Amino acid sequence: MTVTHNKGTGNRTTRVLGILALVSMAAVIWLGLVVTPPDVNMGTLVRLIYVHPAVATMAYVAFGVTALASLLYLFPRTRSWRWDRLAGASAEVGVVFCALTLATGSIWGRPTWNVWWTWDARLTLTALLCALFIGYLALRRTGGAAEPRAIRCAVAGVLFSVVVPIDHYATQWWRTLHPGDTLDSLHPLIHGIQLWTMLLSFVAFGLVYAWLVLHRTRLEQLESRLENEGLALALAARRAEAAPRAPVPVHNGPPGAVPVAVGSAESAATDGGQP
Amino acid sequence: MNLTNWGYVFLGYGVCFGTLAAYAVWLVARGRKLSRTLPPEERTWQ
Repeated sequence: MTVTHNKGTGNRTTRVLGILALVSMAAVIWLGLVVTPPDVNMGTLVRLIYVHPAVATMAYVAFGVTALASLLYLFPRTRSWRWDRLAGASAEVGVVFCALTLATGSIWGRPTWNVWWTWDARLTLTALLCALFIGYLALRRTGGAAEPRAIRCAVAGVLFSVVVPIDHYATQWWRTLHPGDTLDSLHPLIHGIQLWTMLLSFVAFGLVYAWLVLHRTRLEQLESRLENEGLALALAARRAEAAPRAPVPVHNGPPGAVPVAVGSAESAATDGGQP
Repeated sequence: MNLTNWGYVFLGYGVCFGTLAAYAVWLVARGRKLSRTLPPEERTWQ
């Protein structure tokens, strides 16, 4: 007897990615909490900077991938369910990263600005982005035929992603409380081990994003298969309900007499049309 | 809430890594549960 081990949505690629992600995450935590020194201005709170910008960048990347995959789905020549699934998977992972961006930003803002939240342009746009993509996920779960729904979602995915560059440049276009880019290519605000830790955090969260999206895309495939199977079963049940009842032979007459069919289409037609 | 700066740092790391770990565990568990319904030859990624 052959026993097949159920590996779920994993394979060799996800295993390698997962190990790399775990190792790099452990390195970021160790460097961020133990090795790097406190900052002259921010003190110990600088350690949150090894998490927050990388998480925010992954949210942008995720929504960007959703927009790209949605465009590929919208073009008739490249239309494939694979792009729809990738768009949905990346949007969900993006919402997780976006929520973490808001949470870690708020935790950094409380001791720095003395408030958990302020209606600053960058913060408000990030919250709007998160809300829009939660709406996108809700749109993906609406009923109806699969293809028109996928087209609606693709259009929404492209439109909602327009907020990403506006959110990114908000600190340059408006006067905001939120600091500008820490990793300005010409004048980075941090150096040495702090800079390397921050760069490593981008790699680590990038690996986590890739791992999550691979698993989520395969899960989307499984879920859509189940949905199709469920739909097929429901349709079969509905058809069986709507079909005329099979005639039930009744034999009340004397031995040797021909049984009379009860509940057939003919008898239904004569007793008021009830099937 | 009155936390020290280290308290905010640990809270931030805890929320971030805890949420990601919980989401990853949920994804893997749901994937395993749903893939049981799929014959091995249809698991195109394996």
